[in-house]
Amino acid sequence: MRILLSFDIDGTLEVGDPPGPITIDMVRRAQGLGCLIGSCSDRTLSGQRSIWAALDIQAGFVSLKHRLAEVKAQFQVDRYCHIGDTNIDEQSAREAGFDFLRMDAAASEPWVQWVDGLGSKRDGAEHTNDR
Amino acid sequence: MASQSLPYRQKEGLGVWENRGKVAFVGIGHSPCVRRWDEKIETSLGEFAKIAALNAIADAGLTLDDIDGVQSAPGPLGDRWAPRPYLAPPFDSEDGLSMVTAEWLTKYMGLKKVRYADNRGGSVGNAAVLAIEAVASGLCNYCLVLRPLNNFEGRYHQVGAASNRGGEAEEKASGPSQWEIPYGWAGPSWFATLAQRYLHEYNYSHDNLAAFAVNNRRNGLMYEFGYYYQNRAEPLTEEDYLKARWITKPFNLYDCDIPVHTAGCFLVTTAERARHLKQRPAYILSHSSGSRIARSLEVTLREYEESAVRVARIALEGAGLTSKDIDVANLYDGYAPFALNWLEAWGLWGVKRGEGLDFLQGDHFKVGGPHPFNPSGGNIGTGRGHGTAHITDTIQQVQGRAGRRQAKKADVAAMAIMPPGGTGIVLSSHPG
Repeated sequence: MRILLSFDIDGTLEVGDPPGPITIDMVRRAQGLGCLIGSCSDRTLSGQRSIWAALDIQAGFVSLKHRLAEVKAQFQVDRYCHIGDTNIDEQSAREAGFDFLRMDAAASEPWVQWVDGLGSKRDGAEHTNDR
Repeated sequence: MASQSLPYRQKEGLGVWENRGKVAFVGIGHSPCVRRWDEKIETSLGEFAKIAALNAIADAGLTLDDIDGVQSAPGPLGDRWAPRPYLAPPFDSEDGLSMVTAEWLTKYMGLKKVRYADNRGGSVGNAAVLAIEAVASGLCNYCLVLRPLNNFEGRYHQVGAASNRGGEAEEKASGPSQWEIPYGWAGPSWFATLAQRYLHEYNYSHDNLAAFAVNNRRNGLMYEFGYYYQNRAEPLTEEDYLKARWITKPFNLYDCDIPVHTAGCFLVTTAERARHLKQRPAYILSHSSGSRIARSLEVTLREYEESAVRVARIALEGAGLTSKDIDVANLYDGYAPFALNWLEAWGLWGVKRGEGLDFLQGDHFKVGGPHPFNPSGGNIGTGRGHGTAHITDTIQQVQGRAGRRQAKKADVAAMAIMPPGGTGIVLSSHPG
Protein backbone atom coordinates (compact mmCIF):
# COMPACT_ATOMS: atom_id res chain seq x y z
CA MET A 1 0.00 0.00 0.00
CA ARG A 2 1.38 3.39 -0.95
CA ILE A 3 0.85 5.97 1.77
CA LEU A 4 1.32 9.73 1.88
CA LEU A 5 1.76 11.27 5.33
CA SER A 6 1.37 15.01 5.68
CA PHE A 7 2.68 16.38 8.98
CA ASP A 8 1.62 19.64 10.51
CA ILE A 9 4.61 21.19 12.31
CA ASP A 10 3.72 23.39 15.30
CA GLY A 11 2.08 21.37 18.03
CA THR A 12 2.56 18.16 16.03
CA LEU A 13 6.25 17.51 15.34
CA GLU A 14 8.76 17.56 18.16
CA VAL A 15 10.60 20.32 16.32
CA GLY A 16 7.47 22.48 16.22
CA ASP A 17 6.65 25.42 18.43
CA PRO A 18 5.14 24.28 20.69
CA PRO A 19 6.72 20.83 20.36
CA GLY A 20 4.36 18.01 19.51
CA PRO A 21 4.45 14.25 20.19
CA ILE A 22 5.60 13.13 16.75
CA THR A 23 9.32 12.56 16.91
CA ILE A 24 11.65 12.90 13.99
CA ASP A 25 12.55 9.26 14.47
CA MET A 26 8.92 8.40 13.78
CA VAL A 27 9.04 10.44 10.61
CA ARG A 28 12.26 8.76 9.53
CA ARG A 29 10.77 5.35 10.28
CA ALA A 30 7.72 6.14 8.17
CA GLN A 31 9.93 7.23 5.34
CA GLY A 32 12.00 4.08 5.75
CA LEU A 33 8.84 2.02 5.38
CA GLY A 34 8.24 3.65 2.02
CA CYS A 35 5.73 6.31 3.06
CA LEU A 36 5.87 9.56 1.12
CA ILE A 37 6.29 12.19 3.84
CA GLY A 38 6.09 15.96 3.85
CA SER A 39 4.69 18.87 5.78
CA CYS A 40 1.56 20.96 5.59
CA SER A 41 1.72 23.92 7.94
CA ASP A 42 1.01 27.59 8.45
CA ARG A 43 4.77 28.11 8.29
CA THR A 44 6.04 29.62 5.07
CA LEU A 45 7.15 27.18 2.39
CA SER A 46 10.73 28.34 2.74
CA GLY A 47 10.48 27.91 6.51
CA GLN A 48 9.23 24.35 6.08
CA ARG A 49 12.00 23.52 3.63
CA SER A 50 14.53 24.89 6.11
CA ILE A 51 13.24 22.60 8.82
CA TRP A 52 13.51 19.49 6.66
CA ALA A 53 16.94 20.53 5.43
CA ALA A 54 18.16 21.06 8.99
CA LEU A 55 16.95 17.55 9.82
CA ASP A 56 18.60 16.15 6.68
CA ILE A 57 15.30 14.63 5.59
CA GLN A 58 14.24 14.63 1.96
CA ALA A 59 10.62 15.69 2.22
CA GLY A 60 8.47 14.79 -0.74
CA PHE A 61 6.48 18.00 -0.47
CA VAL A 62 5.82 21.09 1.57
CA SER A 63 2.44 22.76 1.53
CA LEU A 64 0.49 25.58 3.05
CA LYS A 65 -2.35 24.38 5.22
CA HIS A 66 -5.13 25.47 2.92
CA ARG A 67 -3.46 24.00 -0.15
CA LEU A 68 -3.37 20.37 0.83
CA ALA A 69 -5.58 19.46 -2.14
CA GLU A 70 -2.72 20.41 -4.44
CA VAL A 71 -0.59 17.76 -2.76
CA LYS A 72 -3.24 15.16 -3.44
CA ALA A 73 -3.38 16.18 -7.06
CA GLN A 74 0.39 15.91 -7.32
CA PHE A 75 0.84 12.40 -5.92
CA GLN A 76 -1.10 9.24 -6.71
CA VAL A 77 -1.06 6.91 -3.70
CA ASP A 78 -3.48 4.53 -1.99
CA ARG A 79 -3.95 6.49 1.20
CA TYR A 80 -3.58 10.17 2.08
CA CYS A 81 -3.35 11.16 5.74
CA HIS A 82 -2.73 14.49 7.42
CA ILE A 83 -1.51 14.53 11.02
CA GLY A 84 -2.15 17.67 13.03
CA ASP A 85 -3.24 19.17 16.32
CA THR A 86 -5.95 21.70 15.55
CA ASN A 87 -9.44 21.99 14.14
CA ILE A 88 -7.92 23.83 11.21
CA ASP A 89 -5.81 20.77 10.46
CA GLU A 90 -8.91 18.61 10.47
CA GLN A 91 -10.79 21.05 8.26
CA SER A 92 -7.90 21.27 5.82
CA ALA A 93 -7.68 17.48 5.66
CA ARG A 94 -11.41 17.12 5.12
CA GLU A 95 -11.51 19.70 2.36
CA ALA A 96 -8.55 18.09 0.59
CA GLY A 97 -9.92 14.56 0.80
CA PHE A 98 -7.34 13.35 3.30
CA ASP A 99 -7.83 11.15 6.32
CA PHE A 100 -7.10 13.06 9.50
CA LEU A 101 -5.16 11.78 12.46
CA ARG A 102 -4.72 13.78 15.66
CA MET A 103 -1.10 14.00 16.67
CA ASP A 104 -1.59 12.18 19.96
CA ALA A 105 -3.22 9.25 18.17
CA ALA A 106 -0.52 9.34 15.54
CA ALA A 107 2.21 8.90 18.13
CA SER A 108 1.46 5.17 18.09
CA GLU A 109 2.60 5.15 14.43
CA PRO A 110 -0.44 3.40 12.99
CA TRP A 111 1.03 3.72 9.51
CA VAL A 112 3.36 0.84 10.31
CA GLN A 113 0.32 -1.41 10.17
CA TRP A 114 -1.09 0.39 7.18
CA VAL A 115 2.05 -0.37 5.18
CA ASP A 116 1.77 -4.03 6.14
CA GLY A 117 -1.83 -3.98 5.14
CA LEU A 118 -2.82 -4.96 8.67
CA GLY A 119 -4.60 -1.83 9.74
CA SER A 120 -8.02 -0.68 8.77
CA LYS A 121 -9.04 2.88 8.13
CA ARG A 122 -10.78 2.82 11.49
CA ASP A 123 -7.61 2.57 13.54
CA GLY A 124 -7.47 6.11 14.78
CA ALA A 125 -7.57 8.07 11.57
CA GLU A 126 -10.83 9.86 11.06
CA HIS A 127 -12.21 8.97 7.70
CA THR A 128 -13.09 12.55 7.04
CA ASN A 129 -14.97 11.99 3.81
CA ASP A 130 -17.57 9.98 5.69
CA ARG A 131 -18.77 13.08 7.49
CA MET B 1 -4.93 51.48 45.15
CA ALA B 2 -5.32 54.99 43.85
CA SER B 3 -8.93 56.13 44.02
CA GLN B 4 -9.03 59.40 42.10
CA SER B 5 -10.56 59.60 38.63
CA LEU B 6 -8.41 58.44 35.77
CA PRO B 7 -6.14 61.19 34.45
CA TYR B 8 -6.58 60.45 30.76
CA ARG B 9 -6.31 63.31 28.31
CA GLN B 10 -9.35 62.66 26.12
CA LYS B 11 -10.55 66.08 25.01
CA GLU B 12 -9.25 68.40 22.35
CA GLY B 13 -8.43 71.95 23.37
CA LEU B 14 -6.53 71.01 26.53
CA GLY B 15 -3.46 72.78 25.19
CA VAL B 16 0.09 71.83 26.00
CA TRP B 17 0.31 69.13 28.67
CA GLU B 18 1.31 70.71 31.95
CA ASN B 19 3.93 68.03 32.58
CA ARG B 20 5.47 68.14 29.12
CA GLY B 21 9.08 66.98 29.37
CA LYS B 22 8.92 66.55 33.14
CA VAL B 23 8.57 62.74 33.11
CA ALA B 24 10.62 60.16 31.24
CA PHE B 25 10.98 56.49 30.43
CA VAL B 26 14.30 55.30 31.79
CA GLY B 27 14.19 51.52 31.66
CA ILE B 28 13.03 48.68 29.44
CA GLY B 29 12.72 45.03 30.41
CA HIS B 30 11.35 41.94 28.76
CA SER B 31 11.06 38.28 29.58
CA PRO B 32 11.64 35.61 26.96
CA CYS B 33 8.88 35.48 24.37
CA VAL B 34 7.52 32.01 23.69
CA ARG B 35 4.53 30.63 21.84
CA ARG B 36 2.82 28.94 24.80
CA TRP B 37 3.42 28.24 28.44
CA ASP B 38 5.07 24.86 29.03
CA GLU B 39 3.54 24.72 32.52
CA LYS B 40 6.82 25.08 34.39
CA ILE B 41 7.06 27.59 37.23
CA GLU B 42 10.18 29.20 35.78
CA THR B 43 8.25 30.14 32.65
CA SER B 44 5.00 31.09 34.37
CA LEU B 45 3.54 34.48 33.63
CA GLY B 46 4.40 35.61 37.17
CA GLU B 47 8.02 34.61 36.75
CA PHE B 48 8.16 36.21 33.33
CA ALA B 49 6.76 39.40 34.85
CA LYS B 50 9.48 39.31 37.48
CA ILE B 51 12.17 38.79 34.84
CA ALA B 52 10.83 41.70 32.81
CA ALA B 53 10.70 43.95 35.87
CA LEU B 54 14.21 43.02 37.00
CA ASN B 55 15.49 43.74 33.51
CA ALA B 56 13.79 47.13 33.44
CA ILE B 57 15.21 48.03 36.84
CA ALA B 58 18.70 46.94 35.82
CA ASP B 59 18.39 48.74 32.51
CA ALA B 60 17.80 51.98 34.39
CA GLY B 61 20.63 51.29 36.81
CA LEU B 62 18.29 51.15 39.80
CA THR B 63 17.74 48.66 42.60
CA LEU B 64 14.60 47.01 43.95
CA ASP B 65 14.58 49.42 46.86
CA ASP B 66 14.23 52.36 44.48
CA ILE B 67 10.89 51.13 43.16
CA ASP B 68 7.94 52.79 44.87
CA GLY B 69 5.28 52.41 42.20
CA VAL B 70 3.87 49.50 40.20
CA GLN B 71 1.27 49.96 37.48
CA SER B 72 0.03 46.83 35.80
CA ALA B 73 -2.23 46.04 32.90
CA PRO B 74 -2.64 42.64 34.49
CA GLY B 75 -4.67 40.68 31.97
CA PRO B 76 -5.62 37.96 31.34
CA LEU B 77 -5.33 38.33 27.63
CA GLY B 78 -5.85 34.75 26.58
CA ASP B 79 -7.75 32.07 28.43
CA ARG B 80 -7.82 31.82 32.19
CA TRP B 81 -5.99 28.91 33.79
CA ALA B 82 -9.06 27.54 35.58
CA PRO B 83 -10.70 25.05 35.59
CA ARG B 84 -7.31 23.41 35.53
CA PRO B 85 -6.01 22.90 39.10
CA TYR B 86 -3.91 25.68 40.52
CA LEU B 87 -0.34 25.23 41.69
CA ALA B 88 1.42 25.76 45.00
CA PRO B 89 1.43 29.32 46.38
CA PRO B 90 1.99 31.94 45.14
CA PHE B 91 0.59 30.36 41.97
CA ASP B 92 -2.63 29.27 43.67
CA SER B 93 -4.96 31.61 41.81
CA GLU B 94 -5.18 33.24 38.40
CA ASP B 95 -2.84 35.94 39.70
CA GLY B 96 0.63 34.86 38.65
CA LEU B 97 -0.67 32.42 36.04
CA SER B 98 -3.04 34.09 33.58
CA MET B 99 -2.58 37.62 34.97
CA VAL B 100 -0.17 39.55 37.16
CA THR B 101 -1.44 42.37 39.32
CA ALA B 102 0.72 45.12 40.77
CA GLU B 103 0.15 43.69 44.23
CA TRP B 104 1.17 40.17 43.24
CA LEU B 105 4.35 41.39 41.56
CA THR B 106 5.20 43.61 44.51
CA LYS B 107 4.94 40.68 46.90
CA TYR B 108 6.65 38.16 44.62
CA MET B 109 9.60 40.45 43.99
CA GLY B 110 9.83 41.58 47.58
CA LEU B 111 9.48 45.25 46.70
CA LYS B 112 9.39 46.92 50.09
CA LYS B 113 9.03 50.59 49.16
CA VAL B 114 5.93 50.44 46.98
CA ARG B 115 3.39 53.12 47.88
CA TYR B 116 1.49 53.21 44.59
CA ALA B 117 0.00 50.02 43.12
CA ASP B 118 -2.67 50.16 40.45
CA ASN B 119 -4.21 47.76 37.93
CA ARG B 120 -6.49 50.01 35.92
CA GLY B 121 -6.08 50.98 32.33
CA GLY B 122 -6.57 47.66 30.61
CA SER B 123 -3.97 48.19 27.91
CA VAL B 124 -0.26 48.82 28.33
CA GLY B 125 -0.80 52.20 26.70
CA ASN B 126 -3.28 53.33 29.29
CA ALA B 127 -1.21 51.73 32.04
CA ALA B 128 1.77 53.78 30.87
CA VAL B 129 -0.36 56.91 31.00
CA LEU B 130 -1.45 56.15 34.56
CA ALA B 131 2.16 55.56 35.59
CA ILE B 132 3.27 58.77 33.90
CA GLU B 133 0.61 60.76 35.72
CA ALA B 134 1.36 59.00 39.01
CA VAL B 135 4.98 60.08 38.75
CA ALA B 136 4.07 63.56 37.55
CA SER B 137 1.72 64.09 40.47
CA GLY B 138 4.17 62.73 43.04
CA LEU B 139 2.29 59.56 43.93
CA CYS B 140 5.57 57.74 43.36
CA ASN B 141 9.07 58.42 42.05
CA TYR B 142 10.02 55.26 40.16
CA CYS B 143 7.10 53.42 38.66
CA LEU B 144 7.14 50.08 36.86
CA VAL B 145 4.66 49.63 34.03
CA LEU B 146 3.92 45.94 33.53
CA ARG B 147 2.16 44.13 30.72
CA PRO B 148 2.01 40.33 31.03
CA LEU B 149 0.55 38.36 28.11
CA ASN B 150 -0.43 34.76 28.59
CA ASN B 151 -0.99 32.05 26.04
CA PHE B 152 -2.02 28.64 27.29
CA GLU B 153 -2.70 25.48 25.39
CA GLY B 154 -6.35 25.43 24.46
CA ARG B 155 -8.85 27.53 22.63
CA TYR B 156 -7.62 31.10 22.80
CA HIS B 157 -10.34 33.51 23.91
CA GLN B 158 -12.97 30.83 23.61
CA VAL B 159 -13.62 29.61 27.13
CA GLY B 160 -17.17 28.36 27.07
CA ALA B 161 -17.12 29.16 23.37
CA ALA B 162 -17.59 32.81 24.24
CA SER B 163 -15.57 35.88 24.94
CA ASN B 164 -16.22 39.52 25.52
CA ARG B 165 -14.99 42.46 23.55
CA GLY B 166 -12.75 43.52 26.35
CA GLY B 167 -10.43 40.72 25.42
CA GLU B 168 -11.30 38.73 28.51
CA ALA B 169 -12.37 35.16 28.18
CA GLU B 170 -15.79 34.56 29.72
CA GLU B 171 -17.92 31.55 30.42
CA LYS B 172 -20.93 33.23 28.85
CA ALA B 173 -21.44 36.05 26.41
CA SER B 174 -22.78 39.05 28.27
CA GLY B 175 -23.50 42.70 27.59
CA PRO B 176 -23.32 43.69 23.93
CA SER B 177 -21.49 40.51 23.07
CA GLN B 178 -24.59 38.41 23.81
CA TRP B 179 -25.89 39.64 20.47
CA GLU B 180 -22.69 38.82 18.64
CA ILE B 181 -20.57 36.03 20.09
CA PRO B 182 -23.16 33.26 19.62
CA TYR B 183 -23.06 34.04 15.92
CA GLY B 184 -19.27 34.03 15.63
CA TRP B 185 -19.09 37.79 15.56
CA ALA B 186 -15.87 38.15 17.54
CA GLY B 187 -12.72 40.28 17.34
CA PRO B 188 -11.35 39.32 13.94
CA SER B 189 -14.75 39.41 12.26
CA TRP B 190 -15.90 42.84 13.30
CA PHE B 191 -12.49 44.44 12.81
CA ALA B 192 -12.41 42.78 9.40
CA THR B 193 -15.59 44.54 8.37
CA LEU B 194 -13.96 47.88 9.15
CA ALA B 195 -10.90 46.91 7.16
CA GLN B 196 -13.06 45.76 4.26
CA ARG B 197 -14.91 49.06 4.34
CA TYR B 198 -11.59 50.90 4.33
CA LEU B 199 -10.33 48.96 1.30
CA HIS B 200 -13.61 49.52 -0.52
CA GLU B 201 -13.96 53.19 0.29
CA TYR B 202 -10.43 54.11 -0.69
CA ASN B 203 -10.19 51.76 -3.65
CA TYR B 204 -7.52 49.39 -2.43
CA SER B 205 -7.16 45.63 -2.44
CA HIS B 206 -5.92 43.45 0.37
CA ASP B 207 -2.76 42.75 -1.65
CA ASN B 208 -1.73 46.37 -1.19
CA LEU B 209 -0.90 45.51 2.43
CA ALA B 210 1.92 43.16 1.45
CA ALA B 211 4.76 45.67 1.57
CA PHE B 212 3.72 46.76 5.05
CA ALA B 213 3.52 43.21 6.39
CA VAL B 214 6.87 42.28 4.86
CA ASN B 215 8.51 45.36 6.34
CA ASN B 216 7.11 44.62 9.78
CA ARG B 217 8.52 41.09 9.72
CA ARG B 218 11.85 42.44 8.48
CA ASN B 219 11.94 44.85 11.39
CA GLY B 220 10.66 42.23 13.79
CA LEU B 221 13.61 40.03 12.95
CA MET B 222 15.80 42.83 14.29
CA TYR B 223 13.76 43.20 17.50
CA GLU B 224 15.49 41.02 20.05
CA PHE B 225 12.53 40.77 22.42
CA GLY B 226 10.08 39.46 19.84
CA TYR B 227 8.73 36.02 19.04
CA TYR B 228 10.08 35.70 15.54
CA TYR B 229 13.55 36.94 16.48
CA GLN B 230 13.79 34.47 19.35
CA ASN B 231 12.01 31.47 17.90
CA ARG B 232 11.44 31.58 14.16
CA ALA B 233 13.94 33.71 12.31
CA GLU B 234 12.01 33.36 9.08
CA PRO B 235 11.72 36.29 6.70
CA LEU B 236 8.36 36.90 5.09
CA THR B 237 8.21 37.54 1.36
CA GLU B 238 5.43 39.26 -0.53
CA GLU B 239 4.66 35.91 -2.12
CA ASP B 240 4.38 34.28 1.32
CA TYR B 241 2.00 37.02 2.36
CA LEU B 242 -0.17 36.84 -0.73
CA LYS B 243 -0.49 33.04 -0.58
CA ALA B 244 -1.40 32.86 3.10
CA ARG B 245 -4.75 31.46 4.14
CA TRP B 246 -7.61 33.71 5.10
CA ILE B 247 -8.55 34.05 8.72
CA THR B 248 -11.53 36.25 8.01
CA LYS B 249 -11.44 38.38 4.89
CA PRO B 250 -9.73 40.73 4.43
CA PHE B 251 -7.39 39.46 7.16
CA ASN B 252 -5.07 36.66 6.25
CA LEU B 253 -2.70 34.80 8.55
CA TYR B 254 -0.06 37.52 8.43
CA ASP B 255 -2.46 40.36 9.09
CA CYS B 256 -3.06 38.87 12.54
CA ASP B 257 -0.49 38.92 15.32
CA ILE B 258 0.57 35.55 16.66
CA PRO B 259 -0.45 34.93 20.31
CA VAL B 260 2.57 34.62 22.59
CA HIS B 261 3.48 34.11 26.24
CA THR B 262 5.68 36.93 27.48
CA ALA B 263 5.92 40.03 29.67
CA GLY B 264 7.16 43.55 29.08
CA CYS B 265 8.02 46.20 31.64
CA PHE B 266 8.98 49.86 31.56
CA LEU B 267 10.29 52.25 34.16
CA VAL B 268 9.01 55.79 34.48
CA THR B 269 10.43 58.56 36.65
CA THR B 270 10.72 62.31 36.76
CA ALA B 271 12.94 64.05 34.24
CA GLU B 272 15.09 65.37 37.05
CA ARG B 273 15.77 61.89 38.44
CA ALA B 274 16.13 60.46 34.95
CA ARG B 275 19.14 62.63 34.20
CA HIS B 276 21.20 60.78 36.80
CA LEU B 277 20.40 57.25 35.63
CA LYS B 278 22.11 54.76 33.36
CA GLN B 279 20.22 55.44 30.12
CA ARG B 280 19.47 58.68 28.35
CA PRO B 281 15.96 59.77 29.34
CA ALA B 282 13.18 59.29 26.82
CA TYR B 283 11.24 62.43 27.69
CA ILE B 284 7.48 62.24 27.54
CA LEU B 285 6.11 65.28 25.76
CA SER B 286 2.48 64.29 25.78
CA HIS B 287 -0.09 61.55 26.03
CA SER B 288 -3.67 61.10 24.95
CA SER B 289 -6.36 58.47 25.31
CA GLY B 290 -9.44 57.58 23.34
CA SER B 291 -12.97 57.44 24.56
CA ARG B 292 -16.01 55.44 23.54
CA ILE B 293 -16.53 55.93 19.86
CA ALA B 294 -19.58 53.95 18.76
CA ARG B 295 -23.12 55.27 19.00
CA SER B 296 -24.40 51.73 18.51
CA LEU B 297 -23.13 48.19 18.97
CA GLU B 298 -21.10 48.42 15.81
CA VAL B 299 -18.58 51.15 15.21
CA THR B 300 -18.44 52.56 11.70
CA LEU B 301 -15.26 53.24 9.78
CA ARG B 302 -15.89 56.95 10.05
CA GLU B 303 -16.30 56.81 13.84
CA TYR B 304 -13.19 54.75 14.02
CA GLU B 305 -11.19 57.20 11.93
CA GLU B 306 -12.46 60.19 13.88
CA SER B 307 -11.52 58.55 17.15
CA ALA B 308 -7.99 57.98 15.92
CA VAL B 309 -7.76 61.56 14.69
CA ARG B 310 -8.87 62.82 18.09
CA VAL B 311 -6.22 60.80 19.93
CA ALA B 312 -3.51 62.01 17.54
CA ARG B 313 -4.61 65.65 17.75
CA ILE B 314 -4.67 65.65 21.54
CA ALA B 315 -1.23 64.03 21.67
CA LEU B 316 0.29 66.52 19.25
CA GLU B 317 -1.45 69.47 20.89
CA GLY B 318 -0.22 68.32 24.28
CA ALA B 319 3.32 68.13 22.96
CA GLY B 320 3.05 71.55 21.34
CA LEU B 321 4.02 69.96 18.04
CA THR B 322 2.60 69.14 14.64
CA SER B 323 2.83 65.93 12.67
CA LYS B 324 5.75 67.42 10.75
CA ASP B 325 7.84 67.31 13.91
CA ILE B 326 7.59 63.51 14.23
CA ASP B 327 10.69 61.70 12.97
CA VAL B 328 9.74 58.08 13.57
CA ALA B 329 6.58 56.25 14.62
CA ASN B 330 5.37 52.93 15.98
CA LEU B 331 1.65 52.66 15.39
CA TYR B 332 -0.37 49.70 16.58
CA ASP B 333 -1.02 46.85 14.19
CA GLY B 334 -2.57 43.94 16.10
CA TYR B 335 -4.51 43.52 12.91
CA ALA B 336 -2.36 45.04 10.23
CA PRO B 337 -4.87 47.63 8.94
CA PHE B 338 -5.03 49.34 12.34
CA ALA B 339 -1.73 50.96 11.45
CA LEU B 340 -3.28 52.56 8.36
CA ASN B 341 -5.97 54.28 10.40
CA TRP B 342 -3.39 55.51 12.87
CA LEU B 343 -0.97 56.66 10.18
CA GLU B 344 -3.66 58.74 8.50
CA ALA B 345 -4.91 60.09 11.81
CA TRP B 346 -1.49 61.31 12.87
CA GLY B 347 -0.96 62.72 9.37
CA LEU B 348 2.65 61.63 9.41
CA TRP B 349 4.74 62.53 6.37
CA GLY B 350 1.76 64.31 4.88
CA VAL B 351 -0.44 61.21 4.66
CA LYS B 352 -4.11 62.11 4.60
CA ARG B 353 -7.24 60.06 5.15
CA GLY B 354 -7.47 57.25 2.62
CA GLU B 355 -3.86 57.61 1.50
CA GLY B 356 -2.25 55.14 3.90
CA LEU B 357 -1.87 52.27 1.50
CA ASP B 358 -0.60 54.47 -1.28
CA PHE B 359 2.08 55.60 1.14
CA LEU B 360 3.03 52.14 2.33
CA GLN B 361 4.37 50.93 -0.99
CA GLY B 362 8.01 50.59 -1.99
CA ASP B 363 10.79 50.72 0.58
CA HIS B 364 10.92 54.35 1.70
CA PHE B 365 9.40 53.40 5.07
CA LYS B 366 12.08 50.85 5.91
CA VAL B 367 14.50 51.44 8.76
CA GLY B 368 17.16 53.70 7.29
CA GLY B 369 14.70 55.22 4.86
CA PRO B 370 13.26 58.72 5.02
CA HIS B 371 9.99 57.61 6.65
CA PRO B 372 10.81 54.97 9.29
CA PHE B 373 7.50 53.35 10.11
CA ASN B 374 7.08 50.69 12.80
CA PRO B 375 10.79 49.95 13.22
CA SER B 376 9.77 47.74 16.15
CA GLY B 377 8.17 45.30 13.75
CA GLY B 378 4.88 46.00 15.46
CA ASN B 379 2.66 43.22 16.68
CA ILE B 380 2.59 41.36 13.39
CA GLY B 381 6.38 41.30 13.24
CA THR B 382 7.02 40.44 16.90
CA GLY B 383 3.94 38.69 18.33
CA ARG B 384 0.96 39.72 20.39
CA GLY B 385 2.76 41.93 22.86
CA HIS B 386 -0.22 44.27 22.70
CA GLY B 387 1.96 47.29 22.07
CA THR B 388 4.97 46.50 24.24
CA ALA B 389 7.20 46.36 21.16
CA HIS B 390 5.89 49.74 20.05
CA ILE B 391 6.77 51.27 23.41
CA THR B 392 10.18 49.63 23.66
CA ASP B 393 11.29 50.65 20.22
CA THR B 394 9.97 54.19 20.52
CA ILE B 395 11.89 54.65 23.76
CA GLN B 396 15.02 53.18 22.23
CA GLN B 397 14.71 55.34 19.12
CA VAL B 398 14.85 58.62 21.04
CA GLN B 399 17.54 57.22 23.30
CA GLY B 400 19.59 56.38 20.22
CA ARG B 401 20.02 52.74 21.19
CA ALA B 402 17.74 50.90 18.80
CA GLY B 403 20.74 49.23 17.15
CA ARG B 404 19.99 47.90 13.69
CA ARG B 405 16.50 49.38 13.98
CA GLN B 406 17.75 52.87 14.69
CA ALA B 407 16.22 55.56 12.50
CA LYS B 408 18.60 58.12 11.03
CA LYS B 409 16.79 60.90 12.82
CA ALA B 410 14.82 60.20 15.97
CA ASP B 411 14.60 63.34 18.04
CA VAL B 412 10.84 63.11 18.32
CA ALA B 413 8.87 59.87 18.09
CA ALA B 414 5.19 58.96 18.23
CA MET B 415 3.49 55.79 19.30
CA ALA B 416 -0.09 54.60 19.24
CA ILE B 417 -1.10 51.66 21.36
CA MET B 418 -4.11 49.44 20.65
CA PRO B 419 -6.69 49.97 17.89
CA PRO B 420 -7.71 53.48 16.91
CA GLY B 421 -9.29 55.00 19.96
CA GLY B 422 -6.40 53.71 22.07
CA THR B 423 -3.46 55.63 23.47
CA GLY B 424 -1.09 58.14 21.89
CA ILE B 425 2.29 59.10 23.38
CA VAL B 426 4.95 61.47 22.07
CA LEU B 427 8.55 61.03 23.19
CA SER B 428 11.64 63.13 22.64
CA SER B 429 15.38 62.93 23.18
CA HIS B 430 15.11 66.39 24.76
CA PRO B 431 12.69 67.72 27.37
CA GLY B 432 11.60 70.43 24.96
